[in-house]
Amino acid sequence: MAAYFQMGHHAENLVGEKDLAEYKGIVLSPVNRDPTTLESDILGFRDSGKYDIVLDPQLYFPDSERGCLPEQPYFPHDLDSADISSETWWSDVVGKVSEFAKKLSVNAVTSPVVLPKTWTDEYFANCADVSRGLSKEVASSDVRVMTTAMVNIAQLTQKDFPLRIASILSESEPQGYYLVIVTDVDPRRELSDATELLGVMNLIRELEGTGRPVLVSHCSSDMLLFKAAGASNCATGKFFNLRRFTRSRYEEPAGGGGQLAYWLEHSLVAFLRGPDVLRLEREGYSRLIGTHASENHWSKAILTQFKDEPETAWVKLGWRQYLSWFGKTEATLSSTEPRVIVSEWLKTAEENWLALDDDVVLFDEPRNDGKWIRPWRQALARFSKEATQE
Amino acid sequence: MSQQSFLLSVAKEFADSHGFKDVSFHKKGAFKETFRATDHSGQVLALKLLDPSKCNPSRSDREIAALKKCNSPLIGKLYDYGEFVSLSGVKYYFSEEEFLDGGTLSDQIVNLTLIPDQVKGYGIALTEALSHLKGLKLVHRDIKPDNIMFRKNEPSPVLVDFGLVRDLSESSLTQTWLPHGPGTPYYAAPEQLNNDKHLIGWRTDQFSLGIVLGICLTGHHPFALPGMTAPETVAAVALRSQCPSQSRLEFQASGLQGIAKMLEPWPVRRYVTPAELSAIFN
Repeated sequence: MAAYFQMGHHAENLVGEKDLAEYKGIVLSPVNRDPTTLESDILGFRDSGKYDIVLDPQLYFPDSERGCLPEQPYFPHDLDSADISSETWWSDVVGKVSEFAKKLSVNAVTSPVVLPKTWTDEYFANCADVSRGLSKEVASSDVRVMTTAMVNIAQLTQKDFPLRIASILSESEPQGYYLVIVTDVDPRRELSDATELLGVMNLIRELEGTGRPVLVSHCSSDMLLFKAAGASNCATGKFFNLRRFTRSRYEEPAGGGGQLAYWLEHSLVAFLRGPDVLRLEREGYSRLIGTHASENHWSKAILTQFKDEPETAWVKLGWRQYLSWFGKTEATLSSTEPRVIVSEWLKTAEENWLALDDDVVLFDEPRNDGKWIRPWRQALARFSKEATQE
Repeated sequence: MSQQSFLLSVAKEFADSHGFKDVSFHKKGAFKETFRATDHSGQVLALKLLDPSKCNPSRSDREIAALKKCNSPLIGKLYDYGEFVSLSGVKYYFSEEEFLDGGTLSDQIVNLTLIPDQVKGYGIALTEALSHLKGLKLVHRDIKPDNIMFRKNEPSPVLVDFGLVRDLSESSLTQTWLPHGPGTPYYAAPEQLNNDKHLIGWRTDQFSLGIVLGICLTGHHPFALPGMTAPETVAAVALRSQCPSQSRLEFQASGLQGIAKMLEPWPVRRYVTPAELSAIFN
């Protein structure tokens, strides 16, 4: 039950950073680091603490910008041309991923998957087969295998689909699951379809129900819902667009949206830009700033900087303020009954948004209006109701 | 009701040509007939004859291949197999298998239920059999009281009749368009009844075993509510209904509440590994 760092572009220096002690794991990013650097990163991580280090081979998008992927020893250079439905092809990939995982001495490796054209039973059965093959390959080592459950969120709205997917994937009998949610929601936007979110939550519940921990990848503030569904572990990164597993996850240049400074405010379950934090203060809503885990070492540093050096960029402080909130909140939800707490938090957040709306306190970003809170509450309410009925 | 043999004369021809004696009709299945015979060394065995016109030769090949892979005292032994052409020129498939002379589980539960300890013992042994099959990537798909037999004076059950076996390392022989897959509907899992091919796995056999053990314990199909017919019961399973609370309470009263989990409509909610299943019987 822990928060994991989802490594991204130059994120390694955040490991072991002040006020981020709740993080117990790291998901490596072979897209961003070449093999040699990955190896030295791991040595550094081992020196700075006891982390559960996970290798995600990241073969998801065969035709996307691959960064350092082609340099990885397991990368199949015939990825674009090969018949990737072939067992032989996968067997070769699995063998190489296994070798690399053992060479890196990681604690766990996620099974390689590619983004399918259609999300059929056959696709998921292949994912389970690949994971089973990987388990055999690493059996002689201490490396754990996590079956990658890459799912199309829209499909999870179909009746019983979470049960169907979970049934197929659980045939692989892994030591855990690595959940990757695919969606066409734009980066930096919250998921806001209650039925889709309910589908994700149900899938988490089913996978966790097998007694194997689920690590939800690329989380954002939606971690609240995933924890309420029973996810053991959640991973996040410093750019909050990381929370979206869209093609842009790999294609957006580091100098893009990732450089926008933001503050995660628990009272609104929202990311706020600097002017909006100040707006809340100015409009008499100081009580909504720095609530729960949003008050941390880094939030204090940001507020001090706003006062003393208002012209200085605070993007790096913002990453840390969010990561600190995430780690502390995840820890809180791991140690208590998460459904009740999250339900209360979301209810309060909605009331706070309504109060702001009544007072016509408008944030800079027109879509930063808290409208996702209601579908989140709906998803959680339906999830709780169904869980109670069973 | 006594069964009539259509292949007794063929069995006698076979015996004459192979030096067997004491051939007698034993039982009849959908595609084959079983005879008791004694071979030239004096060993009693089960001679099975399959009429090729009534079965899919590929399935027979799979059955033989599966039995050849198995090596467990909990699974009936295969001694020999092949083709036999009768004097009339008709080709039959034959297999010579271990003759199990202690009867079937069906015989034991005619108008009777078993005590929980006996059910637990069968549960442990049959889970071990399923574990053996799982290791070979085999799914029996026809676990039922008729296919659970015993050696004379031995308490341990033996799994027989691999005619519907699925080898997960081979391509499926079941067409995707079929409304339901092979199996005996009364004991089949929802994924069999709905021909959900990618959901077929060892947990499919686990479900059927749950039905069998449930019947042993309570005397009725776990999904059968009072007044329900067999087709209605099968339909309830196919619709992925939950095991009725009445059956759950009966399992609980016998200290075998874990059977309810074996009967979950979706495989993901059943026991993940044979070790986890076995634990409920200990």
